[in-house]
Amino acid sequence: MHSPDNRTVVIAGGGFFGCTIALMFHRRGWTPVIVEDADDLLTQASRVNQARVHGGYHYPRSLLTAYRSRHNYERFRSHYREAIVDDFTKIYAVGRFFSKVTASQFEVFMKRVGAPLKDAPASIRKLFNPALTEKTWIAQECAFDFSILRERLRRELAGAGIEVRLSTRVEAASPHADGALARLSDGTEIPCGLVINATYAGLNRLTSGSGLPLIPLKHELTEMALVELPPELEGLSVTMMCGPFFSFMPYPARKLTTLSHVRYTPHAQWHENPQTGASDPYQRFASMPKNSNFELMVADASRYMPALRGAVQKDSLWTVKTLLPLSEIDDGRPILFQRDSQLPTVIHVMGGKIDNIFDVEDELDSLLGNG
Amino acid sequence: MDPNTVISIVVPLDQDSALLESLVTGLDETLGSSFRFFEIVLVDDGSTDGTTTAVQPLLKRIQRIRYLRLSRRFGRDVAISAGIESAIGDYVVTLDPRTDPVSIIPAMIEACRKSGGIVHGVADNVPSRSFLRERIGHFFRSYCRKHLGVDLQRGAADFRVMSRQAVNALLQIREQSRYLRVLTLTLGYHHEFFHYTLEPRPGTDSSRSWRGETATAIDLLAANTRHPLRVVTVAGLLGAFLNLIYAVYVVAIYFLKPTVAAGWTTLSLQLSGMFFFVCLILAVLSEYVGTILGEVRSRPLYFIAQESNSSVLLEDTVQSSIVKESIG
Repeated sequence: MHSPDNRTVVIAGGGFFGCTIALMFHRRGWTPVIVEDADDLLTQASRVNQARVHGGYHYPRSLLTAYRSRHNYERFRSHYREAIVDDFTKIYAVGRFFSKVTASQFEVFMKRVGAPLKDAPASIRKLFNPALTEKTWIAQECAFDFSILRERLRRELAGAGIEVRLSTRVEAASPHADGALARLSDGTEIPCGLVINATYAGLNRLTSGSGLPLIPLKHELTEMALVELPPELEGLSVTMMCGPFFSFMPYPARKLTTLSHVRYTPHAQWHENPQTGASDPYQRFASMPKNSNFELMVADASRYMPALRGAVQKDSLWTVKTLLPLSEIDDGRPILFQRDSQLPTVIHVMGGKIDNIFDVEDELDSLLGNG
Repeated sequence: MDPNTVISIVVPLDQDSALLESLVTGLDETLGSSFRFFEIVLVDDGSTDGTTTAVQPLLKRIQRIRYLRLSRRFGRDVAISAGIESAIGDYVVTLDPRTDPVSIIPAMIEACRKSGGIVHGVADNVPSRSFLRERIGHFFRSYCRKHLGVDLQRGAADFRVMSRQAVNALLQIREQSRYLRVLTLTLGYHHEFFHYTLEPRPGTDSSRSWRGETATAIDLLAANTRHPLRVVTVAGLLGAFLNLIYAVYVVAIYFLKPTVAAGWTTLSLQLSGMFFFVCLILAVLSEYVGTILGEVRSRPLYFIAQESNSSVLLEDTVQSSIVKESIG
């Protein structure tokens, strides 16, 4: 399929996925080169997220996503132990109105997936408004500190001798006898066996720069408020399911808590597809006004948990969240692992959940096995 | 421009696609100049006149609209309840899209902010109906005042501003009977009446038939008061008592009068006996039905309006931790 002689792989994107994929290739005898646009690793999507290691609870209507999440949860926990933060109580609750699942459905689903749920004690139950909350449970889910992950990846990359080029972008990939020719923004060109496009929101910067077909994507301008919780809620993390509800989780890297809301976190959305053409999502992000929706998030969330009125906003995290259009229908969150249809030595990888990295490893094996 | 308060406007839509655009634009402009955070919750009560299509361009153009479509027509009060259950605001405004003016909403919200509780809009220019209907309406309202304990005003409909405290209390009532004009008054809290003038939007008709109004009135009484049942109990007991007197009278006649028609005594005793039992049974049953009504009601017995605590300093009261004996 591709020339086995050139075992250089150019990895566009120095986020968690890009760095981990580089290490995967290294273990299989390849020579990876990581090319990252920012001036450090893990600065974009890997940094600005809910810092949640998904335990399978979050998608009670997509069995595939939930099951894999649970499966990968334990693996991620043991593999990246130093970055795991689990000194808080994770609570899941089901709303009475507007929830797409009932409490009993949620329990049955989680049992099926193998995700543990324990009925919440009275001290937790009394924090919730019973008129609007059907039931609450204590679950097993943890958070991660991206800065520790970054440190660990830096160490591993240095130990493996993997080249990392910062403040550089892969502008185009073109056909080459070795497989592909990657042209970088600093003017250099690298002939390689494979190009991995792991740039998350910026996937189509590479495709449009190379004249490759556009990958249909949906982008959202999202805001997560960074807050200090009131004393009654300290040590707790709550996610309300399953509809236009809120969630708050510790954000270890800043020692604060993120508050997000299904309705108020996305501020704007736009598509990249053959009709709209490609548009640089980072440029759009920079040009959009950023007016915090914190008041609205708290107004709704405090209907369910009155104690949230005491949350103090310290900042907001803004980023571009990228989704696959197919997940609009069934609420699943699969990972994209797509060989480019025009230039098969370019592989596009995009995932929205950090613990699904292990699925990528399996896919990589079958990819390299075939080649 | 208030940067901190969140306002929700709940609008029930029943075949109202024609006035949708002007109403929503008006709401957006009026509220946008007074409040930074607000939401317009449109509850489509199973309209079949293309409301869903008409709302799409508005969703794209105007921020902060939420469109809820009910699965079928449930009635105005249920639609408004659905909107209130979903509203996030510190103050929730409900209105009738066909007649209520948008321009006075900020003033009503201000009145609610000062007093807390609920501000009811009272329309001064409700068109008069026939003399008989007006009299019956007046009698009904005074009956409600006396036996339901609610102060229904002529011209008060669905134009209302509720504080979050009152909304949270309303959310705890899960009964099937949802006559918000009465329910909101039975919550307690502070009530205020804000006078305004109806501004019917052109092309709409909001008159209600007397049949519909009578049915509503009867349902309302049956759901909210046991007074008619009490009347039945008393009437039943009275009937039983009168039948007893009549039976005594029949027996007395039998013994005192020489010529009594054959069979009259037995027939009369049998009749009065049966009616005695029937009246007694009705009286007892009506009391139990009344009790069932009370038990089936799923609303809290009370709502708390305010809670305050003493602010005595502990240091002032604790003198010493010395005890003089080891046993008390």
